[in-house]
Amino acid sequence: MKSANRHAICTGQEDQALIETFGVRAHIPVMTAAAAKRPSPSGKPVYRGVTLQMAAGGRTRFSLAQLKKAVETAVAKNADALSGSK
Amino acid sequence: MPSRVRNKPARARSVFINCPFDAEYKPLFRAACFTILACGRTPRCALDYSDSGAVRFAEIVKMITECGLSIHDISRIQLDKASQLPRFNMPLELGADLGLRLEGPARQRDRKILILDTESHRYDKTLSDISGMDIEAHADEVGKIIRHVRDWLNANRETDVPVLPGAVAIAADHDAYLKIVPDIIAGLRLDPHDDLPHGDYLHVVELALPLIEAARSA
Repeated sequence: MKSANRHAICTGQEDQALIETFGVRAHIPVMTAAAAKRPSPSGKPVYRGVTLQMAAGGRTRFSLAQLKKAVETAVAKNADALSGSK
Repeated sequence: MPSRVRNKPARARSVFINCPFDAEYKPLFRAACFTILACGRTPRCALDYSDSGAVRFAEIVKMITECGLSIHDISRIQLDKASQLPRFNMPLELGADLGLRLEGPARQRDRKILILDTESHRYDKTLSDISGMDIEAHADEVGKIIRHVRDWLNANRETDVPVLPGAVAIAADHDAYLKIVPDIIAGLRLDPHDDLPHGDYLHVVELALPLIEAARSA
């Protein structure tokens, strides 16, 4: 059931309609929670089956290490709230 | 001041954003950037060069040519509050982009362009020359921006790219992101009323997306 829900979330309703209409489900990868967390072969982070690109850059004020620490701390601090926001 | 130099992202995955950079539009702009990043693309805009977005036109055109996709929001038609004059920058950049697609070099003819406005068919009165093009109305709502940008990127994804995450999922993760922003701001020792600089915001979203997904599915 969880896997089915994730599939629905990953594709969206309109894509689901296409899947049902044209029967192309077999061509669309279903992401499990473990697979979604797994880094891509290139080492880039993966979100809902999408390999994220690194931002082009531009002007920044903080180092990546500072940002990473702040994000990880904030996510951990709000873990309960986030897990209840499905 | 840290300033990371990165290789320019691939043209096919780069999305140029032409929109207002003021405080009123900021939630919509940031939601568009969030969606672009969540869809595995790289947002590019004048803020990459300047905190105010004031960039020479030649640099803007160069950036447009480096992006295979463009989003133009022509919703800001009100007079500037301070000067009581209209601003023409966004229609100008849209015109440059359309010119490239219509009569530019061969590699620019495949450009994908999404035009956004607040209301449907308002452009019939403000910019009637673009009548007949695909224009989406967002009603100044974050959820609609996310849906339009996601659906457009999904429709224009490369053939070997799987279907992108749905707009509902991205919007929910965007809501989750907004919940943790105050703690990110505090963690960086910024004042509560401060906001992340644009370059830092992009990196924070990239770092946060996988963690938010994991936390929400835990």
